[in-house]
Amino acid sequence: MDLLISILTPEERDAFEACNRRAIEVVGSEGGRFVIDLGGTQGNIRKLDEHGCQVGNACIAPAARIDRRWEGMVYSPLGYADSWLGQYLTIKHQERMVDEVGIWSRYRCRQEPPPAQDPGSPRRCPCGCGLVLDDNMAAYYIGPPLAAFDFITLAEGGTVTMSLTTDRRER
Amino acid sequence: MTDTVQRTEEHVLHITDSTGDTRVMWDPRNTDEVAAARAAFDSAKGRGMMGFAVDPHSGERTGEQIREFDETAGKIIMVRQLAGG
Repeated sequence: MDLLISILTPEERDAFEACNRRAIEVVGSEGGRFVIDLGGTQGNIRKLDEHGCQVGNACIAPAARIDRRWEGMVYSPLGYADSWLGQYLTIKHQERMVDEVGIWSRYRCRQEPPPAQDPGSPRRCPCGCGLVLDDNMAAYYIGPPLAAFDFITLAEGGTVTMSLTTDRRER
Repeated sequence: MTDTVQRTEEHVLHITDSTGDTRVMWDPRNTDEVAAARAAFDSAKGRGMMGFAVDPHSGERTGEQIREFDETAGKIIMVRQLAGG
């Protein structure tokens, strides 16, 4: 863990200490925002959008199964800290690899829906990002459609919107 | 009378694998040490590991992923390639 901590920037280190060393927030080489949760090494990378909303998490880590030419696939596990180190360096230097190799789960906003407001007043994303929701309380999730979520619809131009009607939020 | 020891900038290669964090240090002026570090780098690279040159004192990006050993780099960290799981 010392090696990982030693290469954090001062800002990253401050954030790391502020969350009781439970996560590392890092900006990728392409400008994406990621959080590495230090509670495991599988599915522990969260991607945030520019507003801080979680838009997905990725399962990607240094390979534990190594192909040795004469021995075939062998299991060669890494320590947690070394796995986090690999995740951190890859995000920071090769963010594209995380997008392309990682197994992604896309998320919708888990916040409570905004309370009913006076007709005509804008409704805003409950996560506090400031985005204004449309009449169907949609349009603040952007990501690829998932078959399991039939309430995610693909609008013209490739924009994905997701309804947050109350009867479906818990699905 | 005391000897004066001239300290040089630290150059270290970290190789993180299942045996832990293996460190190889070298002095750029010492050809034997440079050769040993280069051999360790090439060996790890041959096992499919990736090398990153980072600032010795912080994680600030100091270059792209390196594919060849750079004896002038302050700190090189080698990690296994990532795989989706």
